[in-house]
Amino acid sequence: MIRARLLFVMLLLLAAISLVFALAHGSVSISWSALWQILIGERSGVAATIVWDLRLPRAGSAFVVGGLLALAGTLMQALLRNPLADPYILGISGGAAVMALVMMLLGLGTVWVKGGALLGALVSMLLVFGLAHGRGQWTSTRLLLTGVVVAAGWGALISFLLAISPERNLRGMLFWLMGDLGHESASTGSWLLLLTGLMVAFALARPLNLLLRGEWQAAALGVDVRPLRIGLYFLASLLTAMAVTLAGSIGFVGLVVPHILRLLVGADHRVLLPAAVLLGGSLLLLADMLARTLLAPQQLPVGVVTALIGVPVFLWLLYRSASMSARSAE
Amino acid sequence: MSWLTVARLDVRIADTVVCQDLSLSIESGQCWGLLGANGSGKTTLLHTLAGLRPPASGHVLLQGDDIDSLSRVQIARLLGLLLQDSSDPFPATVLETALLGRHPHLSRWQWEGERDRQIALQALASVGLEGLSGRMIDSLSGGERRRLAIATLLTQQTPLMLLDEPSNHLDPYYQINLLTLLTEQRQGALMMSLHDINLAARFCTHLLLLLSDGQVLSGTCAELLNVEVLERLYGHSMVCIENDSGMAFLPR
Repeated sequence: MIRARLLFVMLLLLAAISLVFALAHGSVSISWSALWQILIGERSGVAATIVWDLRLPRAGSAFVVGGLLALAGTLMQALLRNPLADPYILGISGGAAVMALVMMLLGLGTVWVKGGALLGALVSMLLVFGLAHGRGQWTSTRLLLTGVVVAAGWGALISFLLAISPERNLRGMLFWLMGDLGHESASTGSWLLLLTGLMVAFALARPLNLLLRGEWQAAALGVDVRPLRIGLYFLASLLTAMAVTLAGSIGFVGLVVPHILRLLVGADHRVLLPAAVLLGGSLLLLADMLARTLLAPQQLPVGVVTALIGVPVFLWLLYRSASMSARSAE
Repeated sequence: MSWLTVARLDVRIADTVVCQDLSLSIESGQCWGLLGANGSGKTTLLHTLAGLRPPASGHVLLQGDDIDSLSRVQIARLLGLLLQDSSDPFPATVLETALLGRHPHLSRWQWEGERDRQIALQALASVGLEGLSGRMIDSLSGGERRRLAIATLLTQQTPLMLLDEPSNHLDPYYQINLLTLLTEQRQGALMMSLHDINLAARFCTHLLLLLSDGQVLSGTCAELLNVEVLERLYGHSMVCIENDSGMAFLPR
């Protein structure tokens, strides 16, 4: 367990450093000494307003969204027994996006867009679950296939909506689709959901370890597989729906974070789950800082940054694990 | 004492009948061999006996309790099941995998302690995997994985074991040594499906034979191990060869 303790110390450090960087950098840079003065209580001045009223709430929502996505990704990969699964694979973000775009197309406000996204995510989740459940057996392959097909359907609807949208709506829609943390801060509800989700998932950590070895093996070793999988499905979907509602769809956090952690500390979910929340949160904090500063004062959608970082990292991980297993097979 | 009692059991796969009206009792010290042609339903029957699959009708009693009325954890403390195959899409070490066998003995928030580690390490040593505890499972050979699955089962420490082709992937040395190890647990009982008649003859006290038409023969080895029964079982002519070290059945 020394390795796991060391990992948590490093992840906490990373979270703290990411937070400090996210507070200091942006379209207006704040010097370290000024930031220190502000953090220990300086409340007056433009810089203080920027830190307390703009950057800290935004950093909070970046951390929550990253944590939600990484946690959901870890759960989805265990549920589907597929290391390539991510929180969006079952069409949850697609459903959310379609409803959110419809609200934008109707010219309704942020609250409606968020409500629509949540509704779309829940509808998609029930649709996939109902279809995959069907009358047959509830296997991970069936669930995965149903999800992928439903997601493809949502994709077509998204393209359709974009095609018929008037020019002036397009920019907002595209930003939403690529993930955007610029809107508002994470509510207490989303923090609560993240913490509750983590606690529930942590209570299921050992059964999750068994589920990775296959449903029969898990059942033979004392896991009640069916309720576990249904519970996992709803928990992961709910976490994803909340993340999508807060920030649109942001790719790669939920896919890459569990992978990086498995390479570092193995596949024990009792370590993996809390570590995923910390790493996912920190990574999205950093990605959001880059999105705000790379082309400042222009802001990039954070989903673009996570994908630009995520794609090479993921390819490198795949390449590395392929060459590792080739070496061990020799 | 009866570990597992089967009463009037009907098992079907879609329209195929695996067994009909099967009743038997697996008692302490008994070792049952489950033989049958390919596709006769050996795996399905073992899964049904483990409570993983509902029978078409009839009951399975584990230590006198209907297996349906027990939770998976309660079952897993008494009954261990070795699956025919294992697949591992995620990385894990050999010791971590063996420790999974402790799951039914730990409460929800409990972590494996030193005693659990000792049990797992001992099980790994008994299947010849000592020294490999830190290895990743995806680097193991087929035979080593099979031995790891058996070690996980031993770590589970159940009095009753159901084994689906335990000798798969094993060379003669490990076939003999591991089956000796498994069948020596005399307080408990076990049932294993096998393809090798001669391993069944060597290690089993009783046999359960699944004939092609849903008929079942059960009894002691002495009653059932003869050329006529085996020819009926496999639909192939057999020959029995006897010498000083015993007798062996071979396909003609």
